[in-house]
Amino acid sequence: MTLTAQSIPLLSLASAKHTRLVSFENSNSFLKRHDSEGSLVIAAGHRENPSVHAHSDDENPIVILEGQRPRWYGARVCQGDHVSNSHRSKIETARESFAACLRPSDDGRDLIVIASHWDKPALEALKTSLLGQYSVTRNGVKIQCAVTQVIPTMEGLGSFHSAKSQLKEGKTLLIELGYGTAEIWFIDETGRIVDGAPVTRLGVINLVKAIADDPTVRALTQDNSGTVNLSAISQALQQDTLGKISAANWQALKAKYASEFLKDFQGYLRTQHANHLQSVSNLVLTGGGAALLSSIQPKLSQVFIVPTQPQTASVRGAYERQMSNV
Amino acid sequence: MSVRCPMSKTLQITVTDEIAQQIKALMEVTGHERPGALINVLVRRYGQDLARCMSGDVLPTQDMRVQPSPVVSLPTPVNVPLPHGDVLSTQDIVPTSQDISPGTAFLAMDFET
Repeated sequence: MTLTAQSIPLLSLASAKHTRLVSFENSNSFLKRHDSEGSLVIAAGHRENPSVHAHSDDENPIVILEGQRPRWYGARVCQGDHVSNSHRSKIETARESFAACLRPSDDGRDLIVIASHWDKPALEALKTSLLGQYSVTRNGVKIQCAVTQVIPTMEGLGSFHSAKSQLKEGKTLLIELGYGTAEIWFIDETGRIVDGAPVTRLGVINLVKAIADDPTVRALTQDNSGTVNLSAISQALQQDTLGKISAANWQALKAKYASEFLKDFQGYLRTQHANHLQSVSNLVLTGGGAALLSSIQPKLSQVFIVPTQPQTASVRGAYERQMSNV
Repeated sequence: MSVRCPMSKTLQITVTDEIAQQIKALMEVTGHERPGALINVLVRRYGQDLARCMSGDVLPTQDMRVQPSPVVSLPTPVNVPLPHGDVLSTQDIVPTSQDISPGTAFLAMDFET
């Protein structure tokens, strides 16, 4: 083939990678990403310098960011000793967490990132933290890309967009039930957040801790130091058993503590938001806790709208909302 | 006037002539002899909407809309003669399940195992 002056621009165009839109949420417990290739969820804990036997994959990646020590992220590492993100600010961890979520297909691209946070004043800092060049080796694959633009958005709006087709006309109370905290958002008829706050007391970790304190669970799952692995309980909540506890007993334990958790949930809403509750047309329950609680207590679906795949509703919705504006 | 609220807090309400007339009419309908007793019943039964009284706020009248809660039993329907000769039955204002907000329905749910 002979290259002519006219064909070069066309070839350049064909080989150039175009800018990609990515939705990203740096939760303390899960790193979430959504784009045209789908959703990715990674448990946020990590261990530095994993052994050669560490089994990595897309949801349990080994990540080297700009020559730092390798870190192994994901649910596998969270089953054992690991460093949790929960004691660090989301601004501080945003860049490294986003690096853990990069895909091989991001290599050579400019990325526009929709990043959500519950704290409105922190949105600008989140933007600054994420912007810039990334040079990452992830599961042995070198990825170089640049975040050229960050679109900060309030957490809650993405989930609201995910549930929008199921909503009646009127106001909405949206509860994003995460592991460490729950966020409660009041959204008016126009889709604008008018009030809301994170509530630590309603995070799923409170349910996990209550189960960990149960004498039966403690007797059967604690280690020699008397510690019960909360991550193991958290994972078992979505499964049929925990350690040596029979499936029937585990179901009964889950139902008992989920019931207490929901009563506390009711009590909180009754004392803090009774006025609002009378005037809302829609109750939306989303986040990882929504999937868990609605599976244990099916009654919730009588009053709550639970979007499909609630754990990723926020990042998916934020992405779709942005795409709908294009 | 002062009204005793749940949790021993006190609600200060500025009663206009119009409200006084309405309270008087409600007293006749419900059989209460003292306005304070009637308002205590309203607070107890419909107190969710008056929750701000806990903080001792003075409530503007527009915040005093009554929204029956499914948690409590509703009063026995009463026929009220209106000035122009019609008769209004309070049964007409009994809410249906469709009138109850999902939030109120959630608070009424029983999660006992």
